Amino acid sequence: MSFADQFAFRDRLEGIERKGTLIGIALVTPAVALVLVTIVYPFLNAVQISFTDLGTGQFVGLEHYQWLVSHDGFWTFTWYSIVWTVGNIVLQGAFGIGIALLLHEKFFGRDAIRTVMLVPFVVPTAVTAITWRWLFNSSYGPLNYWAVEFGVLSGAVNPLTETSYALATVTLVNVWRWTPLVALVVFAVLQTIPQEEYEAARVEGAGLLQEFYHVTVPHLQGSLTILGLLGVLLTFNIFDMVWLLTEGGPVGVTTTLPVFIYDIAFNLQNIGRGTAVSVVLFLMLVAFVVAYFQQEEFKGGTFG
Amino acid sequence: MSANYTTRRRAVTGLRFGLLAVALVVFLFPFYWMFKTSVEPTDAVYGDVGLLPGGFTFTHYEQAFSVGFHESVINSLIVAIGTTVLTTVVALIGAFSILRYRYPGRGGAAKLVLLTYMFPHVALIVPVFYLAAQVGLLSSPIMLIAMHTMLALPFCMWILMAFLEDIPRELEEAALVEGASELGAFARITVPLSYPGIIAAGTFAFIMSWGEYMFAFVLMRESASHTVPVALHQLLGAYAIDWGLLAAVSIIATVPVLALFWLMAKYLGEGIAKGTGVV
Repeated sequence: MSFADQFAFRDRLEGIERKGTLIGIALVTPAVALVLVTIVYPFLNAVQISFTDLGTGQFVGLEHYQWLVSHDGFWTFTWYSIVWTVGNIVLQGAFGIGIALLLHEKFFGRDAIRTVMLVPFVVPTAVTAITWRWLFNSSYGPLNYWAVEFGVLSGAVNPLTETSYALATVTLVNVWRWTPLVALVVFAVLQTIPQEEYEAARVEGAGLLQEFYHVTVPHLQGSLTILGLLGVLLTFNIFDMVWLLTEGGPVGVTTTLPVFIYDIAFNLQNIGRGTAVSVVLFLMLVAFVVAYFQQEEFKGGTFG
Repeated sequence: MSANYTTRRRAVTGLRFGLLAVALVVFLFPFYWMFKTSVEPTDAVYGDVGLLPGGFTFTHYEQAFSVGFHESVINSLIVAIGTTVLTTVVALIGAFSILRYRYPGRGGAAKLVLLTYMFPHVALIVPVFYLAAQVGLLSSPIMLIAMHTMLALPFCMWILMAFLEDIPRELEEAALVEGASELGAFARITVPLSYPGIIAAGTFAFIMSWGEYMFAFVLMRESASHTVPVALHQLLGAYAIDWGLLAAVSIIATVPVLALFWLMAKYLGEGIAKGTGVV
């Protein structure tokens, strides 16, 4: 490179520094603007509406919130949300880790299985919900037919319409949808464990269970704490699967807080109360995140 | 010990394949059943629980046409393609800006966009509906495309940042030396080199938008504006549910994303691995 070229290059680089600020800001502006328009503004607006009577436009203070805490349903639905979230996380974690372990050792066709397993996640939730409603159908669905045929059940039952089974069933269908994704993420983490550690364990005569506890588990812990946090946040907010399977019924036993928000704001057409529940749900999750990061594991760790 | 150990390992291998086979059946059987129902004559839909279709017919697919399901397919295509293009462009230039330039507020902008996936989106349905009603964008694809882009943006930006980081800076700088403008170097060097990332991000955005139900349900109030998931749910609410029809429209709703997923699985896999940073 000639001296002149180098000079020009330096000039160019300095040019980047100078013009860079403006170009850089211009290029990131659409992304920031989008977040402001679709999240920040609507949510701040929601906070404002939650203190307002939309009919008269008057400030009503904590009225909507007072209604909320004195409403028995709110506490019940919060409880359903917790049951739904914990059930989902525990089962997805157990099945996801299990499947990831099954995939851990290399074999012919493993990549194909990994791809195929993502299908439940790619298919629209509405299709998944309709499919399970059809499978559970008490008159014509195959699951009931076989359950009766093989003597598991004495009569056909649609678990989505039974008050004692509906929440568990909705949870299971959601577990079915998310487990493959959990499995593939855990699988990816497993792949980062050095093979030598397994070999060393084997040389020392470790069995499969000991291998799992002494090699696999320590490597998984960090990722699982993060996955668990994200899982709770995502699951707690799921509206579509529950709504599409049961619309919150029968008699409200699958009404989680997201369904409750929809019910109040759209079916009962009370926007003020609907936004109040939205704000409370947001605060619950903020509280959860703060509490989560207070855990011992995070103290002095990478996230502390 | 060694022989015993080998036998045990073999038994474990057998168990492994057995359990994986069960898992695959559990994950795929529901879709097979839906396909079977969609091609069966109506009397078989309501009478036959055999594993193979009890006859073969296209009636339910023709019926999907006659109830106007294709209109929702067109609506969904508009929204999903709009979302894909918008997300990919916004995420690509945003990722480029954050990785290549220094300016005040850069870190804040990156965090604001990348952390939105932790925000409880359901808390937005009421205010976003209210906002759309105020500005006259209810039942318009514009508001829905904006919401879908917001949903896809953080992950797509993660993916693209991971791909852009792998492009040697020297290549861009060489173009600048040869007299290209900065945006010219971006368009001619950076964009072509990051195409696997662009494909992964676009595929993700399309699949997400095609299947998204919550915002579509809340915003697309008029039946002429319904996207596929909303139209599916409408058919479910009909007075007498026609399961043959529902199965056919479910298959129609699934085929586009499944085909796209199949074609792009390689890119998507690489993108997910890079974007989540675990591999």
